[in-house]
Amino acid sequence: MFIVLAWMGAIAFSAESHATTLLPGEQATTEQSRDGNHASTERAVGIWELAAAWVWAKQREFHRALTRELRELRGKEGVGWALVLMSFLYGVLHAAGPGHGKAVLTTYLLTHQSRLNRGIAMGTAAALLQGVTALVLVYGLVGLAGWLPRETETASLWAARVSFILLATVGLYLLVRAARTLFGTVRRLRYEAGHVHHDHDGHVHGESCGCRHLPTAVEIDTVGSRHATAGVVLAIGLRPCSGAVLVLILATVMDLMWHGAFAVIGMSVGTAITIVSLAILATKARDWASAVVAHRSPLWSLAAGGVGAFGGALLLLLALWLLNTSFAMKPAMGL
Amino acid sequence: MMGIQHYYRCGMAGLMLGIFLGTSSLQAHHHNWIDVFAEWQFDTKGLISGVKLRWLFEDYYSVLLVDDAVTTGEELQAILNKILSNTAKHHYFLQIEHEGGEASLGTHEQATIGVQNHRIENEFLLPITVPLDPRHRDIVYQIAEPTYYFEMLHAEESPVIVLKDAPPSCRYRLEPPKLDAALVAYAASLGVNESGGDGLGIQFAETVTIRCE
Repeated sequence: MFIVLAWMGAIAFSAESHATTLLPGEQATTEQSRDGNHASTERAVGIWELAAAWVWAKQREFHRALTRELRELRGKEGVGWALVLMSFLYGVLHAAGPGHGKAVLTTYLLTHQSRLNRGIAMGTAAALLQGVTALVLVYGLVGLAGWLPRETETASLWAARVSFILLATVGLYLLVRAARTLFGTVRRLRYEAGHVHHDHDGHVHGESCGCRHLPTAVEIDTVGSRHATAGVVLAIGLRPCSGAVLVLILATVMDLMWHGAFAVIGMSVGTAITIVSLAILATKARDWASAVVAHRSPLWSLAAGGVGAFGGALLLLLALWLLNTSFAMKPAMGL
Repeated sequence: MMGIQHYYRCGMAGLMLGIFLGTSSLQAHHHNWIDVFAEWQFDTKGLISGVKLRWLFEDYYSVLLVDDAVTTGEELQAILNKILSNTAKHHYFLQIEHEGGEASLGTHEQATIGVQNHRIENEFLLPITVPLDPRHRDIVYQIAEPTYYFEMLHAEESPVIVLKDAPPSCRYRLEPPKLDAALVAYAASLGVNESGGDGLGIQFAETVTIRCE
């Protein structure tokens, strides 16, 4: 755990800061050289890295393709289905790559009991909200408030920061809640250890018995968990997808507002499909894990509390790290 | 405590997944690119005496740069001067090999900047100090921004490489970069604020060979 912490810290603080709009040559420090490859080729490449590399290469192609499609739509009639389809595919793929939304949702779902429907709804809502955020930010600020497209990039950076702060709050809330439950459980287990000794064969326990199995639907659906759910969805959804911002900014400049909006809708639907698959996977994985341990140990609720606390802590750390990174990169033109 | 162990394992698996998803290129920077056009200029003796390069910046980067210029009141000309003085330190991102050595370039001339269909375009002529003879030895060149912050490839439109006033026997051949998985994985792992180092870009560069039989 400490290694993880130290490592996250190291990444966050070693992050070199630079302005967003760099000119060619501004970031290179020494002369280019043929044998200057410091890091890459000698390393062994794992399966995850290969997957990440594949997604990265595909995204690069998509960026170019989306730009090309927009360029070709200029001055033409019609919806531009090719662009919408491409945006949809980009959405599916983009969500398959590493990203903040997925990290948050899977961490939450793996460490907190929730029903499958809830997970699906969370994924869908978060993905669609990301599209809406991008639309409101870019079209709202450029179209209605008369901002420069460039300034909306700063605005989306701030939207992201708000979402990170929200995420930190959710993480802290989950941590505190889990810690409280944990202390309660410990106290109860101690009390029981001193009093009752019964065998577990029959599994008929009254309400007063400390040996509990899976929480019921009612317990899962507490007010607290609803707040946490909403918080997680907002924390993901308030950060606009960078691909959507890119398409909308280009659409604004090229006078293709409607095409841009359709493209972003396609993108959000694509993102939703991937995120929901991931949410189902995470919920199933957790249910399975709970089923495996539920009948074996009276301490299981203790473990569940521990995992819940751990999840909260992880979200909190992630949020702080993201926030730190977002401040490390300064926008070129100030705020 | 079998159950706890199971739970612990599952928790760790979740942690690993979370960390994998949550790090590396979580905030990979936007893909920037420049389309390059090159016009190689031959003198009357059939030697290459200079190259006129045209850089066409991608649409999104162009929008950001133009808006920055509007905000700061900076003229495009000032931006051009900055670009050229920055890139001059790096051979204008051009590396020409001839007869086992690197050709030396003069200072840029006739530099212009403009906006074409929302894309920033700049053009400049680079004299080659000692003109190169392509008849006996191949001329091999690569264009790359060292850190790969910008990907520089020859444009897909034609004509992209022109051998101006060249003898009829002159040809060129463009080879795409040979990328290996480790290299791409390394580039993919760079976060938004990380630089891949000054040797990265060249490994993603195309190689062009000019030959006169």
